[in-house]
Amino acid sequence: MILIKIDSLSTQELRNIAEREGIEEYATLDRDDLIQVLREIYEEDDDVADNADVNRRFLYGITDYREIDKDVVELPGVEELPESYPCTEIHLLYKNPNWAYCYWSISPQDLARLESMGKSELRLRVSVTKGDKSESFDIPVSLEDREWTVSLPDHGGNCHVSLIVDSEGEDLELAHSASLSLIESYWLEHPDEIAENDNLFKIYLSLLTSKEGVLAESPLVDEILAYAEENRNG
Amino acid sequence: MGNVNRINLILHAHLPYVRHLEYPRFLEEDWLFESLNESYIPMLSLLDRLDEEGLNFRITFCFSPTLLTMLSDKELNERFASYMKLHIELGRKEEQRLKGDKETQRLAIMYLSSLEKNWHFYEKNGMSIIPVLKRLKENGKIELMTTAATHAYLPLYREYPTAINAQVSLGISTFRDIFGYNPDGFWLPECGYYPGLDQVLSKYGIKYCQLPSHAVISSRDKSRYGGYQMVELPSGVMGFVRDWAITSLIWNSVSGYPCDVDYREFYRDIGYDLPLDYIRPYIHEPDVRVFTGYKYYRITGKTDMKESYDPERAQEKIKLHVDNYLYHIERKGIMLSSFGIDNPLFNLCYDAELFGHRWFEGISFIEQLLRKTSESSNIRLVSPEQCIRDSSLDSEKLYINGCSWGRGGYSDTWLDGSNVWIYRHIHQAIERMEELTERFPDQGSLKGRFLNQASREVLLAMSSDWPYIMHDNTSVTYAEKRLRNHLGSFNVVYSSMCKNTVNTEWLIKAEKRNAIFPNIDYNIFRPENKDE
Repeated sequence: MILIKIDSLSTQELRNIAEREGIEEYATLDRDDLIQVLREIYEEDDDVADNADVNRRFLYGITDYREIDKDVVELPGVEELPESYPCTEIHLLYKNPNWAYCYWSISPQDLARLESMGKSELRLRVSVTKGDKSESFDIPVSLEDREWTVSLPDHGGNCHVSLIVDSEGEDLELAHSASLSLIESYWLEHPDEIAENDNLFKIYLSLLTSKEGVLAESPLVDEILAYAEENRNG
Repeated sequence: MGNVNRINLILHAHLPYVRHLEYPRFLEEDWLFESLNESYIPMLSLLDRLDEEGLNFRITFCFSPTLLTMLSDKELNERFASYMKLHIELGRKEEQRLKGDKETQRLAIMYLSSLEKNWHFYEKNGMSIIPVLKRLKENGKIELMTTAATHAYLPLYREYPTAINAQVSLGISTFRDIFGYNPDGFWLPECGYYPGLDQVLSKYGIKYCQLPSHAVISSRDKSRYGGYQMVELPSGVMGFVRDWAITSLIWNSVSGYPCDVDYREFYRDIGYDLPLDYIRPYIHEPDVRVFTGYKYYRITGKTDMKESYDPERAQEKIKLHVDNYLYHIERKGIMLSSFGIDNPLFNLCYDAELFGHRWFEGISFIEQLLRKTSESSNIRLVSPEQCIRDSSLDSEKLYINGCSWGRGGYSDTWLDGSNVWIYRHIHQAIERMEELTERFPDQGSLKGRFLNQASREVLLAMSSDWPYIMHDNTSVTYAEKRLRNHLGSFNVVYSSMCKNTVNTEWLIKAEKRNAIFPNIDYNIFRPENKDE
């Protein structure tokens, strides 16, 4: 729950909110105190508040504090969704160059089989193939786990994840995900050329740098620029 | 002839499909009405006027299929009429209330007059903005592109080619049904791209799309032009790379032009400031205060003591900001020329609703921008189609990695702690939809309609708006309910079809509730439609 641009609200509106929140002294608190009290109630993150701006999409009301849409009568068809589905499968979704998200389901049959084998743990195997090289690492997960955020080890190549169970000393694969191609950037592959391409980098950065000199947020660009800096410093 | 800085201005108009006829008034439907009254109508009315004046300009618009569907909806149109009538009534009431305060009264009259003009323009064009779009297109003043059917963030569905195909092909067919031709351009929702997506676009005849700003520096190939010329993707589809630096002159939430102290304060509205007894008929039940559009203050600063809005002062500031905007482009053009890039292309992409709705003076900014550029010898407004047709212009082939314009440049916005749970269910619905098409291919009549409705529900669940709202923490409960509603509705069909039955009563209601994509054919989800 957030209050958007709390500083812009009128004192009267802040009092209205405070009254609805059951703050007894709402009528006597001064503006600064009202803001402070309401911020505490909504646990407003200063960072969020500072970033709040009129450019946010679907911002057609000042506050969401009244949970106004709670008043919407249940829409037809709304139902509880299951935690997972009765099939054994695993999916890998690309989040950013450093992280991927995977989720999985295990069918009741497979679950019963694993329990009969006395298994309480599985392994999530993250495999990365780059050219001729292939490497993998395992993450232990419990039978109850259904999702994991996976750190991607390197740039370039392809990545997939598998659900592995140890069966009499052998690795038994329960499911594996589709393969995801990882980011392969020319400048990460050729950091030695960065120093010779100063002008080119000026062009690149002119697209990404605000008039205040702030760079567009991108971990990969930061990484490339760190390489550039390293190379410049020899 | 010297260097010409080419500006490719693309405005993306999109709203999620919100239509709740079961309620007399519905809060989230105001998204459409406010956008129409404050952004789309004033913008198109302006362009219409400039076209009549004979001004030379070129802007590209993308109106999303969900928005186009709502703009063509008879019932929503009737509701928009009620909205306008109500707000005009409030304006007249305000005019009376403010008799003793001439300074504020003239602002109320300004809003009232604007509402009346907008309504007149809308009526004159047959209660629709679509004829205006068609006319401006025919007159060569605007170019139109389409986007994904329900504005799905496509990178998170790359594992499901049938769903990607459905989003692209329905985006194109909805556009064709309304405008009568196939679009050349496809707006990638949220600038979300992944390697191979261009192949799908190419398959459907798309010639260009836009790309996020960091796509070039992080590409697999060494770029020579840094995003200031067209990028040829592996399929031959052209990519237009967004200039973050120039767009942020407006877009920046701290230093962007809309934050100027002389511009109108968005957050101070009589819907929140006036006593309930007075404002009650113009807000939502039960006493839910909302924006009315009557806003009398300028931003002033971080204070409660806001000063009165002064439209003339704001107009003067607009002129300064347009000059500043063009100055930055020209200065950059000189810098690029010194590095051997002549006639650079600046791709400036914005949400259309920013202009007029969120930035009140934004429409005036566009007017001044168009007037200034029409007089300029070294700045020219162009469209993607013109750039592609012009064989004298440079382009470069690049392999672009997955990217978006979201936080950090990838998928974090649509895949964070608040919304990550949705993909398990949507992916499952897609898989089950594929299964249904294989088990029940080419069904006619009732079963066909039942399956068509299931495919509508899956597509509506895929909308990028629901995870975005969850991430942005604005109308979260509504977004979550909508998502659960679509998935739940899909499950009604799935479970019925598993028993080989059709729930007719439910179907009729569902078709009325989500009346989108009237010509949809559920067979589009058939796995044999998958890309190889």
